[in-house]
Amino acid sequence: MLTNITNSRNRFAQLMAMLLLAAGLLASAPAAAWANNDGTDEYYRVNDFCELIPDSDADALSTQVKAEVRLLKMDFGVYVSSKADPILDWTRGFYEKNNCGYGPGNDGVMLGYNPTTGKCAVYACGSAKKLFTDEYRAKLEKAFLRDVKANPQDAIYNFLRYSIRKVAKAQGQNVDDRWPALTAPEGTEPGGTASATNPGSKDPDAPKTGTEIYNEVHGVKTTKDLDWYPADAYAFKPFHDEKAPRVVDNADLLTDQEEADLKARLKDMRQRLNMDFVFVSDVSSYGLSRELFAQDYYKFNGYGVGEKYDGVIFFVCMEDGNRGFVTAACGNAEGLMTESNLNKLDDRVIDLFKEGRYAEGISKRFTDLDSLYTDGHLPFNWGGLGLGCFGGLVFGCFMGFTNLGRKRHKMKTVAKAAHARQYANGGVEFTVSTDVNAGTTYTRVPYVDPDKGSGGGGGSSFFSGSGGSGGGGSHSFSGGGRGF
Amino acid sequence: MAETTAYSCPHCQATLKLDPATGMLGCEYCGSSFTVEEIEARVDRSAERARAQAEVAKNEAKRKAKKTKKQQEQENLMLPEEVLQAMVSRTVDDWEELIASGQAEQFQDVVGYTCPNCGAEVVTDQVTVAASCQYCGSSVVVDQRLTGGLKPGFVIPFKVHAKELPDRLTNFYKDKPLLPKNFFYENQVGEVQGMYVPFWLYDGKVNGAASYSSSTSRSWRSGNDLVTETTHYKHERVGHVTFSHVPVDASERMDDDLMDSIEPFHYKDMKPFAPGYLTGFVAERFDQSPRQVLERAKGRMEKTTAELFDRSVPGGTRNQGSFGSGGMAASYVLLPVYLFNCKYMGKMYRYAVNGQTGKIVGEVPIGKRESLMAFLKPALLWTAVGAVALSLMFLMDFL
Repeated sequence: MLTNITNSRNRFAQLMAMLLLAAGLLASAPAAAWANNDGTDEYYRVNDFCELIPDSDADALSTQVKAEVRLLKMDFGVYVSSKADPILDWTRGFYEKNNCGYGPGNDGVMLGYNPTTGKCAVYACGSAKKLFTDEYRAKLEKAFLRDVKANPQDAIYNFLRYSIRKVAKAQGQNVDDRWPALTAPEGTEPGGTASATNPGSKDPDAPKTGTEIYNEVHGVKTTKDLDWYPADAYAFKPFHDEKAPRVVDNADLLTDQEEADLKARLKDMRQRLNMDFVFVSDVSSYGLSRELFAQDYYKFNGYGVGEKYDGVIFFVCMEDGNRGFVTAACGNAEGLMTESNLNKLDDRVIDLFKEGRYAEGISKRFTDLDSLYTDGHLPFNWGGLGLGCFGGLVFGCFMGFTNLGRKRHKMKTVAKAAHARQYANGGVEFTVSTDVNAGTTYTRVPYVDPDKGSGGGGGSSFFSGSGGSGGGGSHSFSGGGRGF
Repeated sequence: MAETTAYSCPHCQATLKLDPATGMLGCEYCGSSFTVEEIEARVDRSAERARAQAEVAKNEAKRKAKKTKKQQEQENLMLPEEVLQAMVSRTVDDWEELIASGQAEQFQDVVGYTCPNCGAEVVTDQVTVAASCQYCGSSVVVDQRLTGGLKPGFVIPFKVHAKELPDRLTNFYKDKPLLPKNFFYENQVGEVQGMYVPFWLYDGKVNGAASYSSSTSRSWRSGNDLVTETTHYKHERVGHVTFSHVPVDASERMDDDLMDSIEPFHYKDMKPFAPGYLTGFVAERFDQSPRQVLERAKGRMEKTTAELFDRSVPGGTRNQGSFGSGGMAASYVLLPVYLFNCKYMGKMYRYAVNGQTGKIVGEVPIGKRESLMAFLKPALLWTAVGAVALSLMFLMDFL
């Protein structure tokens, strides 16, 4: 609405709209009070009109922030509203109309978030603009959106923590005792150090990107923007996200129409079978095995239905040298994802993937999964009926000829004597019997692990157990895949 | 009556006595002492050992008593002592000289028949009347000139009576699954005549020399490579195999394969030749000298020698090999054979029966219908079973 008003040339209409907006904001923030620009006002710093977090927690957090406002002479706030759209304009409006900010410049920073649209914005005012650059604000927004899916309270807290620590650091003050840096549980971090702080980072208080945390947790190095990877991977709390996309075709294997069809199909399967079905393709597994990547992707994106996060993810990796697909089943979906079924599933699509018929392969995979979880078995391969009959005929003819040959042999009683074994006295009497070692040769060929199969796509892998990285032992996976 | 037990000292075997003061069994000779439990345990163990030893001895005796089939075959081929002592083996060259000189011991008290059709010459005793030729069925006439042919050294008498042959033949046919159904009704069995067929029994030694190569290999993983170590070997073998009494029929008219097939004859029943054995039977005179059929015997011996050499290098490949027999000796014997022809659908089938063991050999007709059914029955059954099973497996993606 605000965009339309801004673009309007009708000044009168613009003025009226602003008045209406102000009235709406006042109506939607009854608990907020006007500030005196010295940070001592008792207005709320955490204005959660969508009740993402309990009121008591919001109050406690507000009180904690207020103390920092006075100390750091910089305001910090959070504004959550389902009406805020566009989010930045509404956040700015809220900040200004509620007289937020410290001192004559109204210095401060505020996060606005609309859970309905899923958008957020960080607004900086006065001297905060210097510290909270566009780039830094973008980082804060990205980190918030990433964290809010799993735990809104943690996401809000982390925003305030990053902001306060940023300002405190710029002023040479230490707030570690009140706003500690994000740390991982001791011993859970690769390399054995407890701190999640990236030593190479210029700004240790900056929120880490999903990619940075991913690299840190897995000990790999990738530059791909992995937004879905949570900041608190070490203490990850599983969650359900029904709105997360179930078809993520980063490798662009499907056309738009195919993607839409698949989405509808997976949605239908989810409703019928009460378990999640997810398709993900990507150009890399970013330093991880395909299996681990699929498990992490499933877990950290909030997929799954019910307490055990029942569901199946089918991940296709198109990375050169690591091309392959993997199927991981979670929760109650694990029961039917036996090694035998997985081998059959993979056998049925491996040729399609080898031939580059990805859309067919993906479609067939979900058809098979549908049949597996609906009927308890894979679809009948009717094409095998003819093959079975032909095989039976060949087998029957073989048995027939064998029987005929055996009987014909019985008919034959006359044969030329070819040997005289029974007339040999005792055996051979050797006068010379030598066995000499004539030398040893060595050959060296590349070792092919029979369990892993050849690079051409043979073989299957099977994994099971509590999968993925980070915390969240509630997810257990089984499955496997093939290279192609 | 109370049972008393005397325990012996395990060290010196002297009788142990119970010491009431200590409650232990003591030996007055070596001074040892044992608790009752210790001695009881020792006695038990001794009894167990004795039982186990007795069991082993019993099994060993049983094993020795139970002859293997191979041992039985070997025994059947051994000549009786009296024959062994009387047998004079001559070399092939000696036989040639002897036959050429006409100095050999001759048949006595026998008469001969000549077939005017095929020329077969047979002898029998003076009372036996042979009406037809065993080879071609033509009538034969007495020819006194044949009297005095070369006398065989030994003979294995007939043990199977001609009357038993129909039953044996029926059993023989029963074991022939492709025999035409109407064969029993439509075949015409010709006259059965027992005949002593002349055989040369060859004794000799085959020398051999052969070289072989073989290899063994083992593999292990080294880093990312699979290393295979192959060790190569060369084997040299020089030696010989001795053969005794390899039989080869000495009749040109007799079908060689038929005679090979009725083996073995059990030499243990061999007797020194006497005309009386010919009573009721005929005996053919040999018409092939030991030299003429020597190659058949040598071929069998050399092949067996090569096999035995090869067996000494399991998994080896023979690169070179030469096997040759030296001087061969031969004995002239008569072996009992029933011969008869069978006519079915206008075709003659020739049969031979080992007159000693009753083994029947001969070509039998193969029925077309029976052959077809022998193929079709299992083919249809297994086609159905296979088709169902495979289809199910394909349907369910088990394959």
